Amino acid sequence: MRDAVRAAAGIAVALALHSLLSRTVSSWTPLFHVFLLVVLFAAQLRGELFGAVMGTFSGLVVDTLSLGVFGIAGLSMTIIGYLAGAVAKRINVLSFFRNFLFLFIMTALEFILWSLLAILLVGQPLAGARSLLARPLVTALVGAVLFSTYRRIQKRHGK
Amino acid sequence: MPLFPREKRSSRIFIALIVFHLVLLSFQVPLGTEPTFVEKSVFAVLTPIQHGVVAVVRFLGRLWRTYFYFHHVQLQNQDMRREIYYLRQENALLRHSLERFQAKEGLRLFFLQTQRSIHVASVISLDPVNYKKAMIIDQGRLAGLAKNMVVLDGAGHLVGRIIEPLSLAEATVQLISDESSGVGVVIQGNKGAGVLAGEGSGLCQLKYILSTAEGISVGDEVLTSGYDRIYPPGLPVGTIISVGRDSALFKTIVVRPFFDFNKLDLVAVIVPPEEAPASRRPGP
Repeated sequence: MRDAVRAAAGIAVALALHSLLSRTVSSWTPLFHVFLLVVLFAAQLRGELFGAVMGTFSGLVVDTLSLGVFGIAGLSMTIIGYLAGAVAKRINVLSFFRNFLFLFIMTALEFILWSLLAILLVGQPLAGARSLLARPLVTALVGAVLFSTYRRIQKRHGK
Repeated sequence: MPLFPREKRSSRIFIALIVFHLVLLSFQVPLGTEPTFVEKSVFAVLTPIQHGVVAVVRFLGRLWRTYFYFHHVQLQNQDMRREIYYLRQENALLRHSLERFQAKEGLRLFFLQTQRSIHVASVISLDPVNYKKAMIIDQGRLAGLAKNMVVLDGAGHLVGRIIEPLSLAEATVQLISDESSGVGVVIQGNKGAGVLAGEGSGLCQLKYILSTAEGISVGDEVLTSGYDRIYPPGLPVGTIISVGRDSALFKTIVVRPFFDFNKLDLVAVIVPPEEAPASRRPGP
């Protein structure tokens, strides 16, 4: 029950953030994948199963808000959510640099997977190399900063 | 190495989720961009949340501006900006229709039509995958919006059209820069007619202009032709930024749309006269 509330809260926060970004700095919207960041956070904190479930729901949200075939983002984010949880369980990704690298690789992998699925299913060409690099870079940087802040707050509260 | 029961359970649930997505995809692929029931349902649940977030942010912003800043001047300014917005829309539509319709009767009818056919909406969200493909606005079926209604920016430039999913209070707008969008257009000065399709990068391609067509140059303005029976004729779309010839039959023409992606805060939806309520336009 608690996990369901956490998942719903995570997606609601991502949705609110996406709406705010859309209205304020629209050109940053494609560079900062807020929904994927929520999935990666969930996977790091609660493991691969929670990551996969969060990936499914966040992916459905992304699919609904974007044009194209419904389900592509859902599938790619579910796989990445599971993979991120499994990796975070086996490798220590808590330090800032490691966390940045982990988020960068996962975001890049999701983008590649999404693009491959898009090509396979609808014949859409891959987006430019700029977004291939820029999105994981920005998302990983913001994510690493947020995660280290979260860990600091947790430490301060003795958790 | 044998899996522990917990890991087994995780793997099973993960496989179930993958199968769920594959089933979803198998339903969706034959439909193309047409939304399924699942997508419509998720849209109906999600967009009110976004609507709420935007409303709260707008309310807080208004609170700040209104009560801590010049209260009266701000309200007056808002009214005037709204009025200017309508006037610009009307002006752009009239200017372009004037070029097309010279007959007095036609002009009178068009004027009557534009006066009550513009519906202003706010953008509440952009496409999270590629913001140059689609956006969601805060007006829906309750406001009289329907599929294929035309959307313009503040200066009367073509932005796109309403597509599904369309809920009671929110609607999806397909931008002309989306790859699957197609707009019937003409090059100003009757230099040729073709179809404008998005590239997904913010630019558009003008297709089916014969290589033999002459006089087309960079800087030429592109207008809607009305041949697609969705977009009314004469709406300004964009400017030609490059003209090439890579195939034997057609020219390769790239068009930059007039509307600015970063300034799409308010948009105008053109409601056909038979669907427009008596008065949508605020009084002076």
